[in-house]
Amino acid sequence: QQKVQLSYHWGPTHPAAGFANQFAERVTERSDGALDVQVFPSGQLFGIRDVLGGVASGAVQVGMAVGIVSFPPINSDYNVTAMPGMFDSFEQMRGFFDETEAGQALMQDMQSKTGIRIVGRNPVGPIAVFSAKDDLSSVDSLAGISARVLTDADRVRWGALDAGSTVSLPTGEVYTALQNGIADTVSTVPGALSAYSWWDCVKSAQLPYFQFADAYIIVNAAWFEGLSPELQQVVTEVGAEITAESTAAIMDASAQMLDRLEAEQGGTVFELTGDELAKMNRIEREQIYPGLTEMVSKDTLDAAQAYTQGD
Amino acid sequence: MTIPDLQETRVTTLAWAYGRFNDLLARLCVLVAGAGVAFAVFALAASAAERVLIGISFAVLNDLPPQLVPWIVFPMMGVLLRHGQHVTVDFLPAFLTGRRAHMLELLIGLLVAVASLVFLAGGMDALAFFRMLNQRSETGLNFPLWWIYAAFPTGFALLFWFAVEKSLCAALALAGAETPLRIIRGRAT
Amino acid sequence: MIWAALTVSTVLLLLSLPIFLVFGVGSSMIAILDLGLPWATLLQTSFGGITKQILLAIPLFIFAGYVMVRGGIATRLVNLCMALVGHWPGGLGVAMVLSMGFFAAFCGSILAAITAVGTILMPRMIEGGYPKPFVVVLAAMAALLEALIPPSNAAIIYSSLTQVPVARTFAAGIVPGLVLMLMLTVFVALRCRNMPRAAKATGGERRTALVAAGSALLTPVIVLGGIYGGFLTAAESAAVAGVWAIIVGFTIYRELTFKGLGEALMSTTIATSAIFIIIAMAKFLSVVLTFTQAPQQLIAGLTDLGATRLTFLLMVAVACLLLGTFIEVVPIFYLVIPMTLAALPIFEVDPVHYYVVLGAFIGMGLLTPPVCVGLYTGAAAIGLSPEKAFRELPGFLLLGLLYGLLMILVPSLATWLPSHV
Ligand code: NA
Ligand code: NA
Repeated sequence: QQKVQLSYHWGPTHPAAGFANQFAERVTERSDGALDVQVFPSGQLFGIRDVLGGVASGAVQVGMAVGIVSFPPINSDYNVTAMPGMFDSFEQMRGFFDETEAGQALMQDMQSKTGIRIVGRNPVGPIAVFSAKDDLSSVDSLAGISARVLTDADRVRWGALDAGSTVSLPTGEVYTALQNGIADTVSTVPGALSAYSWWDCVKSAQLPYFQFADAYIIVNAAWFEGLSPELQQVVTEVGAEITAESTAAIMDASAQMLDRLEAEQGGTVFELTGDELAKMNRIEREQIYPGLTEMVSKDTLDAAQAYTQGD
Repeated sequence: MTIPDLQETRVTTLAWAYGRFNDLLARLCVLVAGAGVAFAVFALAASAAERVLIGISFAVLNDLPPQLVPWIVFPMMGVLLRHGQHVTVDFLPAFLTGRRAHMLELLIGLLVAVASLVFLAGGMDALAFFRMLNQRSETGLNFPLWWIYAAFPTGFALLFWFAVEKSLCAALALAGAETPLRIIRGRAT
Repeated sequence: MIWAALTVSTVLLLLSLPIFLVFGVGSSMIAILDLGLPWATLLQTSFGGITKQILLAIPLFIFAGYVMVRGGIATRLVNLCMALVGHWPGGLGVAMVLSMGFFAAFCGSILAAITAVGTILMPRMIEGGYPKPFVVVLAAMAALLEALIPPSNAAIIYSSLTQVPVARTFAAGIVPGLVLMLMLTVFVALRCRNMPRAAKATGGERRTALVAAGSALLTPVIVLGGIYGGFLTAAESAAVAGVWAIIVGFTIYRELTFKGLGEALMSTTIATSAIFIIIAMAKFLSVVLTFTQAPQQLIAGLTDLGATRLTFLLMVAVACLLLGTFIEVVPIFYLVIPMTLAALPIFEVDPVHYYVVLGAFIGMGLLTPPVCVGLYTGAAAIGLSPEKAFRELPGFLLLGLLYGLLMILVPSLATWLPSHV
């Protein structure tokens, strides 16, 4: 019997936390206790930025790493997932990584550089814009807002949309910032609204989802290779199961969250359509893409565009 | 004219050079740390003003200052040891005087030196890992993150160096070597 | 290995090795040798701990405090307080309490407050016939207001450890701060009723003092207004306070010099690194606590014993008092909070209430010998040997215990204001 430690940063109410716990339970169960997976939630061991290092160094054997946070510092081409509107679903984004040569090479590079292995996915959710302001009905309604930024890609997007100001805040400080107005707008996954109580302050949302945030179930490669073939199979099998179940659940859970925003909080969900959507797409194409191309190599960008357009 | 005189001069010169070098090194550490604090004050005040007035939010002003904290803190460990400004439980020193106090000083110096060697080795081990991981900072500057982690082994190397100085001073005091000690100490304050 | 690590730590502590090494050596023995963790994990957690933006507010508030001392702001405040209450029974003592309260709204650091207000008022009190030991202990005790009235370094540390927004932690300290101020004022007025009093200031004198302190009094408006008005994060407000203190010191009071500014920077650098190196190494300990799940075991033990909210808080209070006798304030925060945080939901303790209770009992460690930095700092400011001040301790400690119990028994003193921000 072997003790295995699993670390993730989500609080208990985040949908992804439930699937992470499921992963631990099922691995323990199916291995007949040969692998005893112990869960360290809520960033007790490693925060969102540290978990990759924690798994890579072997301090823990398993972790949940949010791609857009963990991977760009290793290989900036992963920012291709931050190109707004590049992918229109989790399936399409994963298809690029699984099926194209460029996508596979990118994932391979990240795994070999860090000594980790990806055994499954546990999506964080689709990303939309949420605001403490009432009106998000148009592209222009984003002009002048004060937006919270988490990554460099966020800066480019808000700049192109003519935000009044941007402020870089760690997740723990967003609640206060929304309350006192240092920031009034965040782009995030719907699940974050309840997980961090942000919906106390949020009054409106803007669709369509423009990005799909995946988290990866990662294991320490050396540890994994030291397991017996049977145990390796248990880990990959459960990983595949969790991937399927969490992906099926995340879009529904997100839609429910938007419903709750309207029903319980009296918020409004706006969806850009017709001319407004075309206008947003034009800004994305003409301003945001060029701004982000510094962060993604031309080869990867071309490959992704070829894949999504041929799809 | 006599050889002992010559030797004494040489020891005195050595002690002088040693003390002088340590002074400069300590001053350099303080300079680095002080510059970090000054930059943090300037950057955060400027970033607040800039956000209220213009609103672009430069990552260098916003996100860089906290990342610099390790380079403010770790290099100062040795300087704090030198000036007795670390937080300690001053229980035993209150009872000891004279030779016994010097012996405690020597013991502390040696223990700190040993501990800092262990942390230095650990820090190098971790640094090798972070270089392998090759993460880059998310601030607008986009530098390798191991530059920040390097503050840890650097700090403990400096702490080791100043712990040796402290032990040497205590040992000289025990041996009753007045002159070189006064020179090292004289510069040390 | 745990016992070996504890033994080594205790020995190093008693040999008066720097406390950060005591934390570091003990924790890494367990982490590396027993738990088999890589050094990278210790460094990663430690660096994560010291590079939080919110913690940067600590050096910045310390810096602001030192600049205020050198730029004449502290003097103006003391003069104003003297003009207001100097003629009361125990007037100089009450002025000390009031000045500390005022200065607390400017500055985050307890030791800076003792140095700032203390060095101005303590000599005056001694001239006025107050016994030196009383003056020293009063200064150290009144400086506790510093941790309660925002901005406060203790609140910043608490927030960084608990994810409670710092605006809430700041707000939590205000009412308890006023309560402590009131208790101290009554205590001093009663004890010192026979001391000579200052002549009552005329209306004109009061106006002059108020005008002179005007620019100084703007500081808390800028700091708190900035935070609660939504313009500034805590760290930014600290930086702005520093810049404001520089402007006031150079252009309005004209007492600040470049040399003084450099010295303020130097003192800040030293104070900051002394605090942060402890935080960095205390994070090693938190890695060990998390991996061994010691807090969960402790909490399970407490619930098995049938602990309730009240008994839990009392036990924590006693633990803080004991630890506080021989460990400094910052390390205790890093020892006690990670150990007990998970118990708060179980015993239904509001995190901001917990902050105020911890503040009361950990804060008393500044007064309890042998390790009592507050007392040492106060004594050093007037060149008194600290042991001489010990005889004044019992009265003040009793008052502190009374205050602490009040905070345990009446949670709304802490929770009322934060629920309204
Ligand atoms: Na304060
Ligand atoms: Na104490």
